[in-house]
Amino acid sequence: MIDFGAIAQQIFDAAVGALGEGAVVVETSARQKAPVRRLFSDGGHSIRFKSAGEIEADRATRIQLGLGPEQQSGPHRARTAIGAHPPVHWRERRMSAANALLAQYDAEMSSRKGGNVPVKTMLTRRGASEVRTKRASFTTWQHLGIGGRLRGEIYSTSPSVSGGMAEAWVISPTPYGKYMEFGTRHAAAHPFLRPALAESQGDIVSRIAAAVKEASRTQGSDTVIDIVVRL
Amino acid sequence: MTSVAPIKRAVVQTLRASPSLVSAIVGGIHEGIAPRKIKYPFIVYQLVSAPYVYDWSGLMLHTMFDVSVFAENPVDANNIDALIGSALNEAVLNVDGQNSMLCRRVADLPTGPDIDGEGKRIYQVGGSYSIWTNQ
Repeated sequence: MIDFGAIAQQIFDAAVGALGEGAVVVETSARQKAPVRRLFSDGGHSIRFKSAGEIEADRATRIQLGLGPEQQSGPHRARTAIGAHPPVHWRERRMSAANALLAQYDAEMSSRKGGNVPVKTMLTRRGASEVRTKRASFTTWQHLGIGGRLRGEIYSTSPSVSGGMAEAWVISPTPYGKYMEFGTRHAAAHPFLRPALAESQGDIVSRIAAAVKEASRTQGSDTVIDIVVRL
Repeated sequence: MTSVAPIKRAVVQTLRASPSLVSAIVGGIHEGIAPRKIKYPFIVYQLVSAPYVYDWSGLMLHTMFDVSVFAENPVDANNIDALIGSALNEAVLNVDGQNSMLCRRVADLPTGPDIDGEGKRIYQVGGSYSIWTNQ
């Protein structure tokens, strides 16, 4: 005797679980697409000769890596790049790291006033202002950082079931989130939630289909159930 | 393979093909954001998403556009939005290199009044349009 009720419940539970996974996929994609305040310069760099101290400091590492010694003079004199790519990791947006970059920025600005050759700093002028005023400070994972509030606050809910239907939400609770999603008179839209959903639809459908298929198989009967999942 | 650019052109062409809509929008049609000194009312359209869907027979583009009206009073904004809806909803777009399969209004935008740079109260009303093409 086949208990179709139990099979249906098992399949539905599997689909709900997969829907929860799908919501996390959309959340991850939305986080990647959410615009983040631009604090750092493009990280242009230039090349200069290494000092004797730098060559000495790198010697042990080079030996470890099996590289030859660097030359202090002549046409093959050791060079190094100054400046770097802008920081992309959360830890580099932390207030402590940003304050160090602000000190670097201030030193560079006073050096430029003194008529010295400008060197690109990591913070943009706007970034320096943001760090100084702490206007865009935002706490994430118990660390105070600069920018990234929109991205940091996006979350997905667990699927809720009512009346044979399940739904999961991906929410951006940031007050200015809707202005970023839909645009205003003053600023163009930077949609991040709807594109995340549109691009993840195929993934969500295949997750649910796979979960349903698996659930119908593990019942241990010979019954073949053909199920089509649409979103 | 053609991208989303011809679809944008087709959307603007369809909007411009409606004489009542053209006479109602003094400030014209803009992509993304309108210049600062432009006159009201005007239309802004924005591509939201355009995932490519490959199947055995070719390629489909499932694009979504937001089309909004900015006007100085809510009546104008809603009237022009209705004109946009009647111009685009169920329209057969003339997209270069692609076959128009569907153009349908799928949502209203949850936008509200705003204050512009000159302190005027501005009403933003619009909708999302789903456009499917294949090639």
